[in-house]
Amino acid sequence: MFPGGLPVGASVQVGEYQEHFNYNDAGKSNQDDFVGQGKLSMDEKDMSGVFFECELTEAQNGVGAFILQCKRLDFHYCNFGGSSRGMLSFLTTDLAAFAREHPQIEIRVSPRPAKHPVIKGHYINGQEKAICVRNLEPSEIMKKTNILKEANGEKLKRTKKPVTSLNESVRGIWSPYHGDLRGV
Amino acid sequence: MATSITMPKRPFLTLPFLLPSLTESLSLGAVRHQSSYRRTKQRLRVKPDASFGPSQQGRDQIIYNPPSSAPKFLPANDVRRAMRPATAAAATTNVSELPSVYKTQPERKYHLTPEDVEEIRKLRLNDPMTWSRYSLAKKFECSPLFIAKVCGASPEKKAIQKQVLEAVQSRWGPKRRMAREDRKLRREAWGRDE
Amino acid sequence: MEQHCSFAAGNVEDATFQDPDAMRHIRRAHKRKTQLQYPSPPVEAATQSAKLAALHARLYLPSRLPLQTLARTLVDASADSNVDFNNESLATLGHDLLANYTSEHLICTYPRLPLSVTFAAMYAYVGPKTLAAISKEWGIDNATVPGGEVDPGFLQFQRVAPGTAVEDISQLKSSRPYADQKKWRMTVSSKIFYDDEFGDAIKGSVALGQGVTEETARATFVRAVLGAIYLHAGRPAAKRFFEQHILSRHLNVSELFNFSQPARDLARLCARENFEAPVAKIVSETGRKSRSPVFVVGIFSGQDKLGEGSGSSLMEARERAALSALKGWYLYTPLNPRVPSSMEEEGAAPWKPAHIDLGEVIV
Repeated sequence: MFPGGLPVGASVQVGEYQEHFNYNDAGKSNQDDFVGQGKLSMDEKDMSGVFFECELTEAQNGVGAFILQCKRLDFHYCNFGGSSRGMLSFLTTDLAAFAREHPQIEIRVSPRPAKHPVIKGHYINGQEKAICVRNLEPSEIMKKTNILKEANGEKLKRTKKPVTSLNESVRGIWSPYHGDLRGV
Repeated sequence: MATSITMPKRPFLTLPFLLPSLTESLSLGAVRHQSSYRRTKQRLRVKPDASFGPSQQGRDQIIYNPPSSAPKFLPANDVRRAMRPATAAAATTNVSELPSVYKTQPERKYHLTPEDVEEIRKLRLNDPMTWSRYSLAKKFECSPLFIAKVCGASPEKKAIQKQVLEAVQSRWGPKRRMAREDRKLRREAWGRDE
Repeated sequence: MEQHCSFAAGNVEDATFQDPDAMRHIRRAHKRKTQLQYPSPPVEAATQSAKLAALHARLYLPSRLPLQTLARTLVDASADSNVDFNNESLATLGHDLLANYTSEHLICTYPRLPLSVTFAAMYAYVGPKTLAAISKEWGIDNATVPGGEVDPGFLQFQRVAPGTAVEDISQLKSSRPYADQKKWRMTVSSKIFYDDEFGDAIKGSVALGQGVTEETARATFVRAVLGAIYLHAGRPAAKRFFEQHILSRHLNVSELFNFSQPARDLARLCARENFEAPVAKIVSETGRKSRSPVFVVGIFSGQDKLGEGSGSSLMEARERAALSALKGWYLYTPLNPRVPSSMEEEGAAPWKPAHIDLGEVIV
């Protein structure tokens, strides 16, 4: 009926008599054809590969775009406390250069009187990390700031595998039912 | 591999009169098969498959793992059609030698005429209780599937059949019902390749 | 840190207070009062927001895209109904760009994909759920309540009142005849013509004062960002942004399939393509009489193996083998697929027609 196969959108009237020969033609060439073995359901005619579940794409930060996970750094200092001396010097000398280097981080500086100086990092996953920098030199505070900048906000955990991937292994999974037997 | 022998307290080598021959004694003396890391690794050192071999004749070898049926499904203008080496086709086993999934294959006759089909439709519509799909298939020497293709059951017959099914299912206990439901779910999982 | 407040307000400038602190306080109070009368932050507030500047830098947005426009993309139509200040127009443009770029990518990469799977993949790439997730990964926070005094770096939208059914919010705007007949069968092909890019019925805009869900507001924002990039930085920048943020995300298209009768479909496919009829053969098996047998069944067309599957029954192995064969057919990808929009690049090679064949198997 359709020499090149069915056109897109064509609906097949399975109950029609002429269609019967079309079905048989498909299996005439081979006796082993298994069309006749399946159970034909008469009401599912319109679609072959029907999709039901709702899959979404998964983010792979760094593949394509890279989003720095630290979105905000809060610097708290005290104007009078001795433990804030290094922090005050850091804020006046180094912070402007740091902020210029990392425009993607929002930086807030606010006093916290009669308390030790603290740096707080706010992350995209909603977590918060705080490091107390009492009595530290400006260079040490810079190191702590870099730690917070480079963190991703998740709790520290040990990674055992060198690589984790969303893609399935290109080598496949070993199967005991395939391949020749080899003397081991 | 592991023959059970009672080991004397002194090693064999110091008692040469116990040994039938020298070669056998060596093999008996070295029965520690899996006891060292090095030996375990040595045994796992399997000769690799030809396709995974190192560079041959000074040039790099392409690892060729043919995807299932790629050449057949590629369109005519795709250059990858020609990439199939002649050895790959020869290496595959002969399909006709493999056992079939079904024990018997239905014989296809193509003997029914349009009048027969009309007859089938008339019988199934007028007397659905006598002429079920299977009885019609027996009468006309075709498969029940063909009967289903040619005509559907009448609405009354469908209603009766539904009642029969409900009556049967009402006698099922929780175990059987759950087993049937699980079977259905498993079957649906096939279609999603899970 | 002291903020520099720049605003023009005639009568405040005239006041002659000697005390600078009192003067500053009055200016701030006045500024707040003027801002409160607007439904969304004024345009000049954009340059004052550290949050907004950080967002601009975090997304590596082109410098030609000003902060004022970025601030506008964050204002939903439910927060500010004035079309000159909300992101509706930008989002419309961004929506069309997203749909265009994604569909051309899918169709050119997988030319044989069934239509229902294409719809599902479209939803996975640029559906509202994905776009909302993207905006979360960009570090966007919601404003509790929209208003003129809010930092323009927050996403501003009016929330749906609690207890409202989400389906009732937007009216159906489908041009499909008999759209209200819910029980009637809709063919998948008709969805191309009547429905949106995900195969769902087209929804109209939300009625004024109704509010939107967070997901909708976030999706609208992401679309508006793409529209803004297109307008300010041009087509290549928008394409690059799309590739980096949307297309780079991971999606396994082969997981979107769901077949009811793969063996039947494969038989139809082979008949259509003039292949030899498929035959199921046992490749290997173990434990046939045991409690846990495993059969490996291959489906052959002539001497070629189309697919292979394993299962604990012969039927299961055969179905899985047919399914793997069908996936091998549907997931065909041409070598180096090109999309039509790649012709817009400078010095693009001459266009070669994309692969098109008969489409999916219809049984």
